Amino acid sequence: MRVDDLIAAMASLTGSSADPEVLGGDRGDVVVVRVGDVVAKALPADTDVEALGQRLEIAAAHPELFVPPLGPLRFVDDRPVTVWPYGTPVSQEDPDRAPWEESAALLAKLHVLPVQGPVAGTPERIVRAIRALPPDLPHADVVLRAYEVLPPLDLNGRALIHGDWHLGQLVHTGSWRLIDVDDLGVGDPVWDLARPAALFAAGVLPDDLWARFLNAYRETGGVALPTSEWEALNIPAQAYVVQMAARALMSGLQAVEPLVEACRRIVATHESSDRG
Amino acid sequence: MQCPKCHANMRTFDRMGVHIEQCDGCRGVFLDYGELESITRLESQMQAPPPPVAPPAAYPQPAQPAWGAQPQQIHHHHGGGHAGYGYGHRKHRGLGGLFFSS
Repeated sequence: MRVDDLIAAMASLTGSSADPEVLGGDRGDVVVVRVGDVVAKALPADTDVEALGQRLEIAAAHPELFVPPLGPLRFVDDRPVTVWPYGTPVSQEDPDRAPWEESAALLAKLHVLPVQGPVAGTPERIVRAIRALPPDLPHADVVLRAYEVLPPLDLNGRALIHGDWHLGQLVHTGSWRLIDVDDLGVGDPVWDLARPAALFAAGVLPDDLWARFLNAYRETGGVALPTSEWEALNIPAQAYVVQMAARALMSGLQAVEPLVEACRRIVATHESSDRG
Repeated sequence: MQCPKCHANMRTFDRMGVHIEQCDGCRGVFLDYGELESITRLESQMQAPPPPVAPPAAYPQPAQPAWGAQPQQIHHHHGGGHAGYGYGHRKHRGLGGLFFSS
């Protein structure tokens, strides 16, 4: 099915007559279309439909954390489609005014819910992104070397986690709520904090914003972190640095230098501890 | 000159540009017109400036891991020909996008 036909079919699923606007889908495997007040998201045909169904149920059961889905899973041909109310995304203009505290509080509350559901998409999705990096791109050698020195990413913690949290995973529908349940499931909750931790360690996320996020998480009863947060975050944050560097090298859209420099420091840290 | 109080001899001293007369007998001090103001002015200049008030720290400074970016390194980048990043570039578009993408 051509993408245009897919978009038209998704739009008709929403029951709205407004003109469809494509919000995302340049990757082809995932297409997101807004039609009026409704958003439809088409996933790849090989999606684990049973797990996705469970994820929708979790979101529907916790409207205090997630934007609840509009109805059950739909299909366009063999592609599963989820349907959601539209919400206002976080403005990218001013990181100071982004809902860091609200994000941390939502994640902290998610992490103390009963531990049941499919396996979370992380760390598998991190590994996938790194494996997709063509080794002949400039700087790819440093990024792949940093991945090689990392220990295995199977962590012990067990909680219900978002699995792919960043500021793009929040919308405002009267209050801030999480979106995108595609990686929601059971895993180590530290993964939900590891991306901002990685950006802080790379010198990209200012220290006060990281402090706001970290402190709000702890004050809301978040369970992922010991008193000394880097005991838990060290390797997961390194993994996210490598993943973000790989994605930045491939997309060419983002300034990659701080991430590549952080990869160099990760390699140096591991090599010096191996010698010691 | 003679001390107006005990009539002993007075000697002139120069203290940071201000002439004062002090009595060898009773150690009393005589000031000419304007000298008291000069001393007061000097005194206010010599007072140490108040210690800078630290901005109220809402949170303790978060720790960096061993492999984390160091502020010096970030300042170095500001000075060099690199694309600067770090604390001074809060709204750098190319980097801010990293907060929002998978």
